[in-house]
Amino acid sequence: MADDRVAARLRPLRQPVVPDPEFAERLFLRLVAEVDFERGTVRRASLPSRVRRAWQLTARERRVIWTLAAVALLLGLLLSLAIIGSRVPAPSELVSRSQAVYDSPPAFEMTVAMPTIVVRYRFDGAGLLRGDILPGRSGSGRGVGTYFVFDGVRYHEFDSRGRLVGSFAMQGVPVGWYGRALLAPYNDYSVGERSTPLAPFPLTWTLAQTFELPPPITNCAGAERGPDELVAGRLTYRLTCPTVRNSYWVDTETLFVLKVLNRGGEVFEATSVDFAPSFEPGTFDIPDGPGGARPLVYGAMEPGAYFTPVFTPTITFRLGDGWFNGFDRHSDGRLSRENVDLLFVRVDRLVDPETGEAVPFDGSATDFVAWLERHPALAISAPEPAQLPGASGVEFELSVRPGTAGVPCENTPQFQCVFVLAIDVGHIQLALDARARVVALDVQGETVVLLAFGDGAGDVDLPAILAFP
Amino acid sequence: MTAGASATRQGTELDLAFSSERAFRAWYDAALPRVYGFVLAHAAGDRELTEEITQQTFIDALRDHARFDGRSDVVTWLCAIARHKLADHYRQLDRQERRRLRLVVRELSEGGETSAWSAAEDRAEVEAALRTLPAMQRAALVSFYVDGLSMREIGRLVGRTETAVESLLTRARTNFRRAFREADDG
Repeated sequence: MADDRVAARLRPLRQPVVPDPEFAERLFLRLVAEVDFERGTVRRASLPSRVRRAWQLTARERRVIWTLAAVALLLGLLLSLAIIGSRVPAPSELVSRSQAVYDSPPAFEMTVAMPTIVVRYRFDGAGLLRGDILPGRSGSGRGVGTYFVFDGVRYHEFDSRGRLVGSFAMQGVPVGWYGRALLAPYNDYSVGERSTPLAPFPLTWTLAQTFELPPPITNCAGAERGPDELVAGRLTYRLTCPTVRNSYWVDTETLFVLKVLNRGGEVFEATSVDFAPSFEPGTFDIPDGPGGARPLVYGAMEPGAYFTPVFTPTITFRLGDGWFNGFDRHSDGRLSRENVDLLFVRVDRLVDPETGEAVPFDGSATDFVAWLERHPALAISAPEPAQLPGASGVEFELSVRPGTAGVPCENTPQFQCVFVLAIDVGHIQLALDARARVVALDVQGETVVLLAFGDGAGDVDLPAILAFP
Repeated sequence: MTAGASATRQGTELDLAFSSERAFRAWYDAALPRVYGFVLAHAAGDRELTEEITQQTFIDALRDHARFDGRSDVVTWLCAIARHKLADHYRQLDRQERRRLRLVVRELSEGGETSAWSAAEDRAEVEAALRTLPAMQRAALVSFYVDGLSMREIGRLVGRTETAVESLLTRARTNFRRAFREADDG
């Protein structure tokens, strides 16, 4: 679909819209109050000065009345706050207030005993959660001393010696905040296809939707309240949800859920809790992975070594300043810097440029280069041997043959492009006047193609920054 | 017309608006729907947000009217003020969205055209589709296609690199088209 379809679709948004008359009139009156029509300008007075002036213009008797009224209002407010503070909320209010806590939970440390495992959770209050497997119950198959750090998208799993085992994309829709959701990696029945930390093979999965973690208490219409109880030394409200037949023990102070009894009779219970924790430096660090690298994550990259947790075969990058990671997917990825874009693509199919039909492809870099040489729209320079750590292949320059007609480029329709490669999430185009530095490599039986675009493409020392561990 | 002549004319127009309540009403009635429509497009149909930002825009514009140099249409200047307020809003939304769990959306290859694309749709449907997009993608899409900003300008506005904006725009297009396809399917 061409871009002009999107533009056409959005065209109605350019039209003026008459707002709600009440709003228009309210705003008009507010603006008029600020305009000094006699002088033909806007009054400069600030709100405090206007209040002060109004106060000065008020008669003495009226000032006394206003002062008394303000004092009475303040006292009433304080009294109301005291009453509200001492009132025990209704069960439905407790549910909604507890749910609200999990929108942006504060830092905490909590050890939770579950049917088959004991986990010490530490949350930094800013999106990083660490879970350490403690001794106490066994049956989960998870090693005591292992831990994970969850960054909101991926689990980074560590062995008992603190070495990164791997980083794994979240696979299933989680169904609770710490009760079940955080247990997803440890819970055989929570997800249909497991792809989780410490699995014997590193599967990853991307979902076709954006999900938000629900709070622990969900589907709780008609909540009922039982007697208050102590959990982990803290006073809790006990709530029962008739629809899902779960019971929750909610901390009276923080409204965190400290204990869950589900309909199957399983208990998830905090055995120790700290809502003002202090964490040692490095608690949430994601230290060295393969080749001393950290997993690539979306966004601006600090200088350092990274590996692709999703793209296979795994590539390691040693990056300097100014790099940005755009994608890390099964079939392609993209790193960019001020004046260079570096695409890496796993080529697993080639098509006939004339008919668009698949052509035989033996999966080697040599076959890929031969296909390019036969291509009627593309031209390549004489291939030269290329040697990268862990892989070898050829390097050449790719351009469009002079006189070739193009189509509007996907992202920049003011330029003309030709189609180069199809990948499973889209395709790669080359602008008519662009040149790409290409390295085609044979890596572990796959053809991996690196394409460097931009003015700075020639300056990137690929053998120095790339490796295939 | 030269820039100087244009500046004089526009400056007079804004000054005229302050000359009497009737003139101010006429100016306000003409400007409000354009500014309101501009903000509503960015707010993906959120009337409450639109009213808030429109109100802030007019109040700020009034208080800072001396900064208006008359080189552009008054409404264009008002929209520029609104755009910065919207950028703040987008950044705040983006931070909120990032705090929550977000899973990567698989970007499928585009299939054939769907009937929804061949029919003229009303504004409400476009706004509904925009609401399904994350804040930054919405910002990129509307700024590029509706406001006609360049990727560099959008990047400056939302605090992203040009490359990042390009990437945002690609994903925004995909998700926007998908939103319509889902509406068709549903």
